[in-house]
Amino acid sequence: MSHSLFQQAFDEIRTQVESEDFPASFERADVLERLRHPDRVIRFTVRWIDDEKKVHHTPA
Amino acid sequence: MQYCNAIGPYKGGLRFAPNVCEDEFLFLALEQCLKNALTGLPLGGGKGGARFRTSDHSRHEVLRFCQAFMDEYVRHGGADVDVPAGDIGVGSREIGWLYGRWAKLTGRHVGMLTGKPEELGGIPGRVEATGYGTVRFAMRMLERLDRQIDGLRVTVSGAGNVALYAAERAILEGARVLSLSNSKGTARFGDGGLTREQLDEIKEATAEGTRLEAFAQDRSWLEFAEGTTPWSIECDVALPCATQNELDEPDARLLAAGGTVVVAEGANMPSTAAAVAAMKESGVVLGPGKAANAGGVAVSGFEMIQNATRDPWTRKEVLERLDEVMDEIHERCVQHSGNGKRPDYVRGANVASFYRLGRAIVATGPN
Repeated sequence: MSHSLFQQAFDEIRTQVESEDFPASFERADVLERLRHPDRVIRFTVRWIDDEKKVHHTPA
Repeated sequence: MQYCNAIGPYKGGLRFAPNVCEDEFLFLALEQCLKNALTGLPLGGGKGGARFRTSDHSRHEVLRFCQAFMDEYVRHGGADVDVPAGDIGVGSREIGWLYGRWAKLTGRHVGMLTGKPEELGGIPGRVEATGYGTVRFAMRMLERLDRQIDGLRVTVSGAGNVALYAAERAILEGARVLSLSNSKGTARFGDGGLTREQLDEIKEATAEGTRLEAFAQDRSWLEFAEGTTPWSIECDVALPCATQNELDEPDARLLAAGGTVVVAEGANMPSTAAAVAAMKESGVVLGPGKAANAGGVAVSGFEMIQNATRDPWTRKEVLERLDEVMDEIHERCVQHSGNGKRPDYVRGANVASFYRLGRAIVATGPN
C-alpha cells in the first residue's frame, strides 16, 4: 500500500477520470496535471508565548 | 495550502494537531477541491494548520497561539481569497479568536472564516452539517436500493462532531445506532441502539473533554471494547466518521459478510484503496467522503453567502438547504456513473467534480 495519502487520493482520481471521455479541451488544458500540484504552499512560523513566558516557534 | 481557486476562493479547514505533515495537507486540500466542486457552490480548495495540540494547552495559551497564527495568516487570507474553517483542534472558540484578531488587524467585518460563533456571523446548523449531511446521503443511497433507513442497524466510528451528529440524525430518522468509537476502542450500545438522551449525555461529556472509555466506566448501557473497531459489528449501514484509512480490506470483507448494504464516509478517505476495491467486488455500495461528507463545507458556503449579503439564515433554512444540496450531490454522482440501479458513487463523485473543475480551468485559459 502506498504510504503517501496524497498519492492514494490522486491515484483514485486519476484511475476514475482516465477511463472517461472528457472534452478535448480538458486535455489541451492538461486539467489532470494541473490538479497534481497545489497553486501554492504557504509556510510561516507561529511565534507565541506560553503561560511560563517561554517563547515557542511553531512551524505552520 | 492554496490548492485550486478555479471555481471560488480557496476553502478548507484549519487543522491544529501535533503530527500534521505536508502530505496530509496535500491530500486533504486535493480532496477538498473535488468535494467543493461537487457541492455546486463557488468554492475552491485549500487546507492548512499547525503542529499544535489544542487540548494540551491552557485557554490563554490557545488564545495567544490563535492570535499569533492570525498575525502571520492575515496577509494570505480574505473573504474573496482564502476562507478557512475549523477542523481537528479548531472549534468555534478558536475560530472566534482567530476572527477577533483578523477584525482587529484589518478593521473589517467580513466572512473571511467560517464556522464562526453565531455572535460573529456564524450560521446556525454548521456543527451538525457534516454528520447530518452524511446520513442524508446514505438515505438517498438506500432509496436507490429500495430501502429505508428507518429500523436499520447503523454503526458509526469516531466521537467528534461528524460522528455524534451522524448518530443524532440516524436516530432522528428511526435507525438503531450500535456504536461510536475513538482511537482506543469501540463503545457498543445494545441491540435497540443508542437513544437521543444517551447521545446527549455523550455529547455533553465529550464537550468537556471526557473520553469515551472513561465515560463508559460507570454506565451500564454501553460497553467499551478496547482495541476494537466497529466494523466487526453486524450492521446494515456503516458510517466511518473518524479518520483516514480507518477501514481496511479485512474490515470491508467483514462488513460484506455481515450483510452491510451501504457505507457512507463521514470522514475524509476513511477506506483504504484495497477496502474500496473489496467493497465494490462484494456488492457493498460505497458513498465516498468527497460526496457524503460535503454537507459541512456546503453549510460553510451558506455562511459565506450570509456574511456577504448581511442577511441571516435560520437553522430551519440551513438544514432544508443542506438536504437539497446533499440530494443534488447524490444526483450528480448517479448521473456521472451511468444512472445504474447500483451506482458506482466513487466513480460518479470523481467524474462529476472533475467535470466542473475542468470546465472552469478550461474557461480561465490553460495556464
